[in-house]
Amino acid sequence: MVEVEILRWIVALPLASAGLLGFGVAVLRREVAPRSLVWWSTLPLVGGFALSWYAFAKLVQHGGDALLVDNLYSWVGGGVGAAAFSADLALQLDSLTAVMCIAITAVGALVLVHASATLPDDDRPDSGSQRFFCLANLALASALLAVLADNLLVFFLGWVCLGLFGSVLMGFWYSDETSADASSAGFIADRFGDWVLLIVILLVFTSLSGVGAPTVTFRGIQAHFPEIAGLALEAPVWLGGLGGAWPLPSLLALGVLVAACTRAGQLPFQVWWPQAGGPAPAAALVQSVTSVGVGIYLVCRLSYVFALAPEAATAMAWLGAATALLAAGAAAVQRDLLRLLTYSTMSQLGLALLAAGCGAYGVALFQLLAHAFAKVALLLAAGTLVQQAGERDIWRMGGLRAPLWRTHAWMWVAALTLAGLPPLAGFFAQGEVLVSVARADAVFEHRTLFWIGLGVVALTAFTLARALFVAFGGDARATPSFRATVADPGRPAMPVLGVLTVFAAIAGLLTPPQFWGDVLGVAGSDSLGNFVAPVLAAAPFEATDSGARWRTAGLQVLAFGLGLAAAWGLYVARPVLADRLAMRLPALHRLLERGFYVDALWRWLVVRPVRFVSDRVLYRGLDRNVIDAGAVTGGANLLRGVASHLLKYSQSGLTQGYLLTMLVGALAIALYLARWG
Amino acid sequence: MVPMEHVIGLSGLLFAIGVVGALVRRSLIAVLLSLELMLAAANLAFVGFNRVWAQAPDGAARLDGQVFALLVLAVGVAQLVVGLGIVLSLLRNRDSLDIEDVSVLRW
Repeated sequence: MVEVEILRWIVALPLASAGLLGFGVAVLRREVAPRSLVWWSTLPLVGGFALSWYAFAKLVQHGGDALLVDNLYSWVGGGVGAAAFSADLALQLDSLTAVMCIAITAVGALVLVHASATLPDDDRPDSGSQRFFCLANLALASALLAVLADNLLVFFLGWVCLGLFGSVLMGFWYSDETSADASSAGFIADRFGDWVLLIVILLVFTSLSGVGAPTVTFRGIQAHFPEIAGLALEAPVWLGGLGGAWPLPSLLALGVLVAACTRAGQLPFQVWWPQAGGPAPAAALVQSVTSVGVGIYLVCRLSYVFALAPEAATAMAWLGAATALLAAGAAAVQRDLLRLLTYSTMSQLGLALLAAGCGAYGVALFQLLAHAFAKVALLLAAGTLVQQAGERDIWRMGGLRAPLWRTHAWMWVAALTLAGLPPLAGFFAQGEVLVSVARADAVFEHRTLFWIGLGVVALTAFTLARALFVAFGGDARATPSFRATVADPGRPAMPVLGVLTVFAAIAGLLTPPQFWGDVLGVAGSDSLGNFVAPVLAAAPFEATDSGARWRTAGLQVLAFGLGLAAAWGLYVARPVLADRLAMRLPALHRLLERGFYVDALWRWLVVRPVRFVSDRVLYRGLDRNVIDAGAVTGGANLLRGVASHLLKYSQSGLTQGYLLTMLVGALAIALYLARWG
Repeated sequence: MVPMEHVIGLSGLLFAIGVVGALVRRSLIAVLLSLELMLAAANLAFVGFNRVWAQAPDGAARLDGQVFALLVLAVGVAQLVVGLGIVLSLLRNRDSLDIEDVSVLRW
């Protein structure tokens, strides 16, 4: 453990930027000039990026499994002796945190630079780039606080703020009702996740106090976790003692899983995601490293809990696989470009959770990061596309290859990276996911999860290729007025897009899995995996033999090729086929297009009952009859009646009457004092 | 020396007269006089009791009661000034000093 004082600045810099910008826009009502706004908002992130690298270098210098700790002050404290508890406002940095910090600051800075050039700044009340940059920096600072947190309380602080600012960012255009509603729904879903996480924290703390180690620091929990791993909780009486005693690690792991699912947009909490209509840079932030990233980070950080809770890990694998498949299916038929990409994000994050559920937490992190950079590039480019075409529906775009040729080219590179064209990043990441799933097949005793993963690879390739074929190709289908002005955005948006895309593409080559390293003759090639390995729980599986690896890679490339070929066949070679297919299977098409009616499920399960109870019971029953008619109006009426029929006569206006009252009072007091005083 | 019982008796009698006067007289001036009577009764009691406890346990002289009597005199004079001011302005405005005529601050 090494004491340092630099970690606080990684969080403080973007926070200060957000504070200044927010103070300016909300209190002073004065906006920074757009030209300097980008500096105000981005430079702190660049500073955080540099500091993250510095901390990274310091970490490497002290050895890979070292821990940097920056203790600001004692935040919460109490108790004495064995029950003494304290939680510091402290930050820590180990290899996992270092990777996340670098990714968050890098993506954040690039996205904000891109946003400074492309965010529309018109006269609508809900536009205004300074507000956007303030919120974006707040979200990034919360994400940094969460990943840097030294204990669960600080983590919870960052986590809750992140949920709030993520929702607010997605509802940035609040005058658009759909967007605002989706943002509210997301806020509520996130609060549910917070609630579950809070229960997890309290459970951890009470269990650790029970074994005489009252701590909430991550290293303390990890050190003492074996002591509480054997504990179990009695099932509550109101559940009829369901299942007898519940093992503690499984409960904790399931809680963490639910919390992570609310942030990473996994089933069944993704309901608001597809509807969210924030600006593309906001979506790029939320769907890459902030909300989503911290969700996966939490699973990785607490991987030792999952390692001791095999049921919860299996549940995570199935949940991830289900989300990956369903979201990939839904993405394949969407018309709205941003919604399509959002479904694709859910499906890719499902793959990450699938890998984590199979015990490969490093692979989950790899998949998260590989997806993050490619998806940020895709979302930013898609934002440009939507802005230029004035349409979100890919069927109303078309004919944009020539005017937007640079965006088109970069989008293809990013899409192929994400879909897994060898040897780009997605290929390595998805390949590793498939290999880790295949390794875990022995545990599940069937290969369903593996085939689901393969199907997701094919569907991803199909989806992205379809989106690009339809959106750019064919004749111009948008309203003609837009035609004249369509053009690629200028600097700095295009260079940023290029940097992001190129890095996303080659990221896999910088840290190829060891199998490919061996093929290429590079020792220790999996630098990312090796770097974070000390922090993560090790997967209890044998290494896969190279024949199986080659077969997996072959199947993966085959699936990728099939998806691409299907998209080409259906949307370029024989465009009528797609319509005919949709008409032949209307039920399936509707099911996919509506995202398997998960939103309807929530509407019937939660929204309608809550509305019914609120309206019929709480409003008409309790509020109107008991509170309004009873307590408020009734109380006032009673007081008025008493006052106007009885009390007013005491005010006679006769001085001697008052004197008499006074005398009686004085006598009463004297009597009281004489008798009881 | 006058016995203490006589002092208290006179004081109580004066106070009772003052109370009854203040409650039953209709003339404002009489009411004010009755108030003064009550203050005088209290003063008498103060001075009388001061004589009983004139000596502190350590032998020093005590003047608390007499000091209170002076204080009450001062307050009484101030009250009388205000009261007479009200009486004069009432007389000027209403041409009557009947206390029951001054009862407009009622429901």
